[in-house]
Amino acid sequence: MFKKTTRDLRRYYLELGGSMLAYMAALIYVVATRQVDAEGKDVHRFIEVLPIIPLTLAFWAIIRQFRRCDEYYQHIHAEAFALGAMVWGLIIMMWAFAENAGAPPLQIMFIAPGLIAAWGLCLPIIIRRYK
Amino acid sequence: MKNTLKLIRKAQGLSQQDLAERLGVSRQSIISIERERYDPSLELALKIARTFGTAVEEIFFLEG
Repeated sequence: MFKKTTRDLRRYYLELGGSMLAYMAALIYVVATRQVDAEGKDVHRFIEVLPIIPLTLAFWAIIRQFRRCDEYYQHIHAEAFALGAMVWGLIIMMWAFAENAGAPPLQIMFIAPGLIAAWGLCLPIIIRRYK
Repeated sequence: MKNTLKLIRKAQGLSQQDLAERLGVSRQSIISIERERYDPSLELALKIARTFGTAVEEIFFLEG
């Protein structure tokens, strides 16, 4: 079981790390070509969304790792994700109300990373509950 | 839900790690079930009962 878990984790880190490296490369490419294509070429609209491909692979790696976990860890992650989504939802709502009071607008770009961060931050709380 | 998993496991001379390996789950799952912090799925409860050659209600039961 331990060897299987270690092998699974190594595979997960490889998949996730590879996807994130590809994501960073895509981001750098998009930013670098943005100036060149600033003349208004339609093709750059497609290039701008290029980072979503490695990001999809990263999400897929996370889902694959989730499915490799046993039911106990799946339960913990599902609960942490639900709690994280609720906390992050409240933060976004709070920000929206604050925007009416003059706060800077929240970039849509930060919504997905914020959700994942909230999931990660809620994980120790849920783990503690079941230990 | 209450359970007698720890008693039954010890009576059969199995460690938490041994049981976890037999069931194909993590040791932490066994620890949490024994501490009654986590209720296993029906499938896992049935696997546990089968491992010890007993009925599931001999291991897991409702309080009161």
